[in-house]
Amino acid sequence: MIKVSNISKNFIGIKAIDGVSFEIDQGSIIGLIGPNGAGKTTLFNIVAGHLSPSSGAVYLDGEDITFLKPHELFRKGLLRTFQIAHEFSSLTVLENLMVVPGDQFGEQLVHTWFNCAKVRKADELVRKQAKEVINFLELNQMENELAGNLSGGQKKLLELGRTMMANPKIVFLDEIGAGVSRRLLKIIAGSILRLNQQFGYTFCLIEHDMDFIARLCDMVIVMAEGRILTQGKPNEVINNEDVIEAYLGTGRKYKKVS
Amino acid sequence: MTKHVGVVYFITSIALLAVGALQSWNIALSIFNLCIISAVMALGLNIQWGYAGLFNVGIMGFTALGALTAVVVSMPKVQRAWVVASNGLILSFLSFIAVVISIVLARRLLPLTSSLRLPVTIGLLIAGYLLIGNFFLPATKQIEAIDPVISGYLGGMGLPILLSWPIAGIVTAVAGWLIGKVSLGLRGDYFAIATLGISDIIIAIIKYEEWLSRGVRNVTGIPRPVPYEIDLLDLSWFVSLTHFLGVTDINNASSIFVKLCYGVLFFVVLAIILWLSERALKSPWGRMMRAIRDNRDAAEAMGKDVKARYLQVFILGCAICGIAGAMLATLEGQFTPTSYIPLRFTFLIWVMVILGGSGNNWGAVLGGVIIWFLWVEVEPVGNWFVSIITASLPKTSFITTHLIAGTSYTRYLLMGIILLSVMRFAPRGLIPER
Repeated sequence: MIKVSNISKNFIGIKAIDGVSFEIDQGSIIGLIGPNGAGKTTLFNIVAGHLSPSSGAVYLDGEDITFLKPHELFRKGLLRTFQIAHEFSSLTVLENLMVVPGDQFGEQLVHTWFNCAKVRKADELVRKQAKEVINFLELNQMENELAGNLSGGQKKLLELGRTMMANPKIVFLDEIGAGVSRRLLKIIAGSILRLNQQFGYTFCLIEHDMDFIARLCDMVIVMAEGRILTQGKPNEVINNEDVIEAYLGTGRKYKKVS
Repeated sequence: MTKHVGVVYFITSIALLAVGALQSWNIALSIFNLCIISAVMALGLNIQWGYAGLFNVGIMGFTALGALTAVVVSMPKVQRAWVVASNGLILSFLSFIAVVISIVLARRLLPLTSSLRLPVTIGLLIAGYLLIGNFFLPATKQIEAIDPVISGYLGGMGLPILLSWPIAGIVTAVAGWLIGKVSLGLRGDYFAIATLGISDIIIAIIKYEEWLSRGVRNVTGIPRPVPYEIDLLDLSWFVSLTHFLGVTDINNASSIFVKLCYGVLFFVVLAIILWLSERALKSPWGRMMRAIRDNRDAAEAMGKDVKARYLQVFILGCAICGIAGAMLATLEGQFTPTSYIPLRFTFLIWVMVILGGSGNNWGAVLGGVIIWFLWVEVEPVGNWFVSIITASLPKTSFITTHLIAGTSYTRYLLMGIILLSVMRFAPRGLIPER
């Protein structure tokens, strides 16, 4: 459903991504791994519309989405979360979720002034949906807490919850498990699997935790220095010698980094 | 929370009443009127800063534009100026349109890749500038030459002054749209610098385009929406009203009555704007704006068209400041471009919003009232203090003269102290957002 075709990205003097191509099938969970500085987040930013690639193209269901803005991609069902949690800190957890649905009736100023009843009615539906998501994520006690007061892990969970409010086709999760406790990580992993199986969400996730990857992903793409090193089933990839080298470095292949 | 708001408002009204009882009701009412106008401005800024986090330090420009609109809408037409200069003005307007069309056409016709695009555009711009100036400059010279002492400008449209309030809103909204289009691409402090510069440009234009605004020679005698004090004295119903109320000083009564009329008008405007902004804030729209303020990138990723929303909220805030400017010109009955200084019309409004509590409309209104009250009342109160302190000292002693000379500067000191202590002890303001 997503086709990334020969993407390159140059920052001034640095080639962050160098001719990356891959495809993501509908209904799959893809892991994107690689050492720090491999270009994973840059790739996410390009796919999600925060950056424009220097060359190459991204397709969603055959449609060229390379230069669409994030909010336009949202309408097409492509969502992302952020490596550093981007919660709306002065909004409550419930409000964080209620913000998400697109084209809400009450987002038109004229309606908020002169069509109050209908705005309230539409907002009730959104609230109901948000409460369901809160139940799903087991955040009930936090419902009316300001999102800024949540723990790091809960913020990540909230970000996952936000994507659920939009009924997306595909979600890009940027290190959703980083800095999250074991218990919360279990909830997050469980939620991802359930969303994938029950609602048919497609996921692409950046992760460093290999257990997490092995448990969730159908396929893993390994990036290093802006290129795809290898891709395949999690077990194969994790035991791949090149991958281990890329992560740990033996001093053989990656000695000369210039 | 609501109780707290009530208490703060109660204390503020007591302060105003105290001024009425101790000094005079005339002064209390004129402070009150300006408090209301300040509150409207604070609401405008609050919509930009409190809702959406737009750092606009160009409020002065929009207020002045609103005041200019009041002049252009309400002043009587200067017939002779139109007779002398209409040809030149029409020609320059036509040539302006011709220039715009030719530039647009040229850019359409030349392909995007053509290296001629930029030179041709610049060439057309220069030629257009010369062409327009060729008609425009002599025309404005002629206008400014007509009775420079009393007119020397085009005059206005002679419409009722109250009409100028909504028109000022529309004019500043259009200006806000233009300026927002240009500067909202900048983030945070860069945007702030842009607005600061643009507001000074607006003031400079108003000061030097004398054919339009009389510039530094000021426009006086702007028509009023309320009766003149002197006319009231001849009205039988007013005289009988004062008799009925048992007022002896009828001159004073008429001036209080006029100020009350202004107060009611301003209060109605404030109430409407407050109601609208409160409705908007408490709706999904307000929730979306707060989300954008909290985290722009996340809001974008969650499908909000951040740029369009910024522009919308910027236009709204500017329009409100413009309306306040028109109200101010109406109250003063004159338009003095030199009195528009950033300290009074930008800095002070910021202090109002920060003191009141950014993001909270009731807070912004309260901040507007309190700060304006202090701004005006610090000097008399300071004088009174000084007279008590120095009562036992000889009139010519160094301390007395020094203290008396200092009282008029206390307000600046006080504003700084207020700002610092709010930041330190109540960073979210007197009435926080929640």
